[in-house]
Amino acid sequence: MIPIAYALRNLWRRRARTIATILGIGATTLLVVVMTAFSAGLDNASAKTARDDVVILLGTSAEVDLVRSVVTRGSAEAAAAAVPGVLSAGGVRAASVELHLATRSGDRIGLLRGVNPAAYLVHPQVSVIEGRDPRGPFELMVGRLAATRMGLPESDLAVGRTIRLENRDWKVSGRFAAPGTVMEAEMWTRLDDLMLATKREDVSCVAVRLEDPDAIDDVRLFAARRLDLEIAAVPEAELMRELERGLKPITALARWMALLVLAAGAFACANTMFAAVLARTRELATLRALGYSPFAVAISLVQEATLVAFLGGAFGVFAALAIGHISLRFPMGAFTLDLDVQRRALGLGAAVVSGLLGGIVPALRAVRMRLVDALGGKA
Amino acid sequence: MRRVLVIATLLFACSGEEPKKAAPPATPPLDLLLKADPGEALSVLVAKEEGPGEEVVVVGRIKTIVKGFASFQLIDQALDYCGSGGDSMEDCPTPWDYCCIAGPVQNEHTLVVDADGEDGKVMKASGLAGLRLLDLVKVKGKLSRDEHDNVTLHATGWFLVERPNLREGLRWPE
Repeated sequence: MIPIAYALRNLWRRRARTIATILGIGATTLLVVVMTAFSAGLDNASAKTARDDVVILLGTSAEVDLVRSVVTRGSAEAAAAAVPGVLSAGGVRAASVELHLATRSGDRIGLLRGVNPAAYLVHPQVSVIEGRDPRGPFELMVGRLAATRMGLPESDLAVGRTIRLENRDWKVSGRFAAPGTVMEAEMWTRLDDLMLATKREDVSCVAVRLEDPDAIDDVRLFAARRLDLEIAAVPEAELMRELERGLKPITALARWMALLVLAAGAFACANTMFAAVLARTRELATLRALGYSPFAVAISLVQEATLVAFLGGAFGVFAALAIGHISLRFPMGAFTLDLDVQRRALGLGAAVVSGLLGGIVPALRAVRMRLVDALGGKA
Repeated sequence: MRRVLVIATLLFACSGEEPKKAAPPATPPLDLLLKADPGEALSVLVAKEEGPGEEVVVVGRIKTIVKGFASFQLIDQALDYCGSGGDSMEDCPTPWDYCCIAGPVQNEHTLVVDADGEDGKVMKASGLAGLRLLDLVKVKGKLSRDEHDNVTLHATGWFLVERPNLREGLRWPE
């Protein structure tokens, strides 16, 4: 076999081209890491929100669409009080009457949710990380990603600041976290305040947390039999699946883009290696004349390509580390791009694969040349 | 080997988690399927107006099947389901429902059908023994009305009158 030092020396001999290839593959690796993290982030945002013990009671004509759902306040309160199998803690039933709204502040769109104290029982993923929950009139508690969702700087939604929404000034009383869920992009306020501000007499849904997830069928039966309430029971997981279905084209596009980027990396590697083979036709033929087998020469070339790709991949991974956590928004919320170890390993693996793929064809071409022609520089 | 078995036994014995009792398997209520047409039937709207009384037969379409129970909503056949318009409704993604009709109108034309067990509660069941959404059925049973004015038909039998043909390749709801 040809020593690996030979491959390293060759790379250094053509350092300008090598560095350009490393930078190119670094960029493609970074893109692969970002694209896969983007698609995973979208998937997680809906999947992590769903709990198997939570059922949403929607208006009958809403199908499985929370935004279109309308339930009269009276029906919602009656359902919250009567629905069977509900978890109870400290005398509070985990049945949350909620109003979900998309609101505007100038040309920025935010997500508002009007809730009662029961909401914190139904959605235990929510925890206050700064300040407190809204208790006074027209107070807001904002999710960690609410500013991202609205395209505002974090400082605009800091605790104590005021934001104008629905023709009223709302004071930020606190911030909350709900890691990985769509709720993190929302702003929560008291239900009565939101209904007053928007002059709404109806609500969006009743979110119910059950003592036992198996009781979901009992809630379905309750909703079907109480025609007077005009509600339908939909498990939260089903609702989130619908949301996920809406995002599928975007996640699929991100995955396809990652694949295309991977192919571009392979082409970049192949291009570099073809140039190396053409420039070193006589040298490679000499190696064969000295007794190295065509296989050994081919392996050496593939080694070169893989080495360049690995260095490029490592560069891309470091660039991903430098980026850190970025928050992105999508129509129903926002999520944090998590460029975790798994994604970075995937990016590095993709870079190495692109090096292997890009090195094989030039290597085959190099060893298929007739030795006499190659030595005479005719190839 | 014996030591491994002993440790495994102790581990399971000390886990403190009692195995969940499996619920008896729910079966479709086959014995409710009538072989013969029960005869003249009331519309859902008329049945709701009449309210509780002697045994009646009510005709309507299955609007919603309650998962896990022998219970469904029966809607008056005077209302058209989304897919009944033929080609004009080709674009409706859910031709098996009544999404084109306002919710309150639907509810006004709907009653609940329950098949009760010996304990007087709705029977647990997996499916409705071959019946599916939009089937036109005649249901025999007694009506009741609750304090919220909801009318329920406690079925003693049902008969499939007609099954509508919807376009091929539809993905029916679970």
